[in-house]
Amino acid sequence: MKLRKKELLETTDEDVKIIYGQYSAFRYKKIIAMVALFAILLTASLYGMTVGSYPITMGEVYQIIVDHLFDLGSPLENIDQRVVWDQRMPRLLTAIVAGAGLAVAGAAMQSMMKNPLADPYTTGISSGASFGAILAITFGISLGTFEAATITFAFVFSLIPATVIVLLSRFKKATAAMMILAGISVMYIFNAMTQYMLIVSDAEKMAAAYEWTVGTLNKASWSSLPLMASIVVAGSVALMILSRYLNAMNSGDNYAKTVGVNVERMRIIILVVISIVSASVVSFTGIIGFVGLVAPHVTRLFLGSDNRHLIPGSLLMGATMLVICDILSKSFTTTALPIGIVTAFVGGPVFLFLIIRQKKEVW
Amino acid sequence: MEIKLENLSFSYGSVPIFNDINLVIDKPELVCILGPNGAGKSTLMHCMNKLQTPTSGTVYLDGKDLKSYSLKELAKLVSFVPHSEDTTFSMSVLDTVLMGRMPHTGTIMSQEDVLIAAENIKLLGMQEFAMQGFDELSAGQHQKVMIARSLTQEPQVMLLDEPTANLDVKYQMLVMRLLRDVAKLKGITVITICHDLNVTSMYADRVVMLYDHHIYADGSPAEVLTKDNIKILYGIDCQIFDVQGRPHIALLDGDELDSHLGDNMVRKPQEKETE
Repeated sequence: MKLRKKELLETTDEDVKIIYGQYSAFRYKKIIAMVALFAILLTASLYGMTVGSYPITMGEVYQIIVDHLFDLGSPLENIDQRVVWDQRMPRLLTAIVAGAGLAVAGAAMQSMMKNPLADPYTTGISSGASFGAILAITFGISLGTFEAATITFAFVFSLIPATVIVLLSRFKKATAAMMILAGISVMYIFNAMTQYMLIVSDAEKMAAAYEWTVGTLNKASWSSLPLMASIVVAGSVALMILSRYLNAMNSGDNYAKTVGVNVERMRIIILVVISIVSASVVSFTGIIGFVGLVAPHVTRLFLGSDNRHLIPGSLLMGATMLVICDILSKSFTTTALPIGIVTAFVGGPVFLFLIIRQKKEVW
Repeated sequence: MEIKLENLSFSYGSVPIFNDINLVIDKPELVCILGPNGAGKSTLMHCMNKLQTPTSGTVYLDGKDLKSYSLKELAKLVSFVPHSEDTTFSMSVLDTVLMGRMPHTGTIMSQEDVLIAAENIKLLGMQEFAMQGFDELSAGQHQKVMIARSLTQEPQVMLLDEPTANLDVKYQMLVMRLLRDVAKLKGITVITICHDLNVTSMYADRVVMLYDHHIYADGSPAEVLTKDNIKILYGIDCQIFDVQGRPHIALLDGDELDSHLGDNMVRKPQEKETE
């Protein structure tokens, strides 16, 4: 093979060299775009730390962060320090991790289903999570704390739709249509049970249950971060490794098989990864809508549809979008509006604008 | 690489597509499969790359049962150009062609992979479009990209399902000539489904006619593309001329092609009153 490579490079004619050069530039541009996106994320994060109802100046905030970073074990002495390090910091990191996880899951789901309307919740993850959480809330179930029970139940039940699809795939080919239809069926069943529980529960629990379904970062804490972050990181890495299979599957199941992809099995593997990533985010934050749908589309406008760029690009885009939405929610309301409302309210018009603006057909 | 079909049968439920087909393709040459619509050409091809499982019979590739190959092993030996490409989110032409390297490479594409893809893009005359989006191209250009992608897979056997369907006359000839030369120069067995009798006649080394659930005729264009065979396959009369040493088929209009438009028309146009 070594010899062949040398021979190839020497016999390469001008046109082939030109194509090669164009391709290098093309890929270089995408890397630049990703670096730019990362810079935006960093800027938004730094600014986001200074926004909040508790009055601390920008300089103080950074002073506290820098001081504490160099001396992580030191106790937090005053309210200022606690607000910055124990409230704003985990909230920011949760926004980054949740946004990244939902966007990566959404990008993979859209590519796998070959459907621009797909998002992380397409196969019924959100309805499963809602049911689980509301079950725990209305029955007042406690695993040590009520909070832990809600999270655990949401996580376990959000994986049920994917389990159903995996089991179904033993009897029926795991096609995109089969997955979507099975997911929708499970979703309706869960929704029916959720609605029943809401009807029979008292007003106080109903409010708590409803509040859970609207995605929020208000509950972010250091304790929930490690688990959520490690699942999102592992899942994103897995999906990046699988991105070339997603590319092949986009050319149709038949073609993907003839380049050696076991399409049905791959679809199941990807579904399981997407489900675990989304479930880990949803069970800690509730259902944050729109990021998982829109972040991949916005990323496609800049980076194209190649999943090898789309997946890492969506990761950055999702994180950035959620950090910015959180800044908006903290800036315009004193109570910090649940982020699920902000993402949809801001994301909708922005997305419509991009659809009108774009010249190239990405979809 | 030798492909051998032994007593191959396929049926969709109770509808038989073909029965008891025996065929050996053992030379690197351009083999064209001809047959009327619904004769089972595509199904036969899908049995050669595991997209369909025959109802009975065995396919041997290089002396080994096709079932013993994994999809990935098979992908290193056999490439496929589908009838059409249905992408939802399309990539650039070069990235599309690069997919052909999948069976051979890991996660990261090497410089060599990109060069092989670029060479094949040039071979098909698509160098101007290398960085364009696949969905910005015409149907004919799609087919050229798909053929470049198939060559990039560097297979021993190429299977193509109507690769010239959307091409203009020049590119039909160019692609068929290219496939013939690829077979000869690279030692690849090229099997393609065709509809155009004259393009087939011009470039095929061997023609296999599929009709009435079995192989009706098999041989060189001159042996297979006869007046009688065409009459039986398509029910059309023709005249055959010798052009450049190959049969040239001139199809003739006739009553057997009558659409019965007049009889089948439900609402007849009102007849004009004559004075």
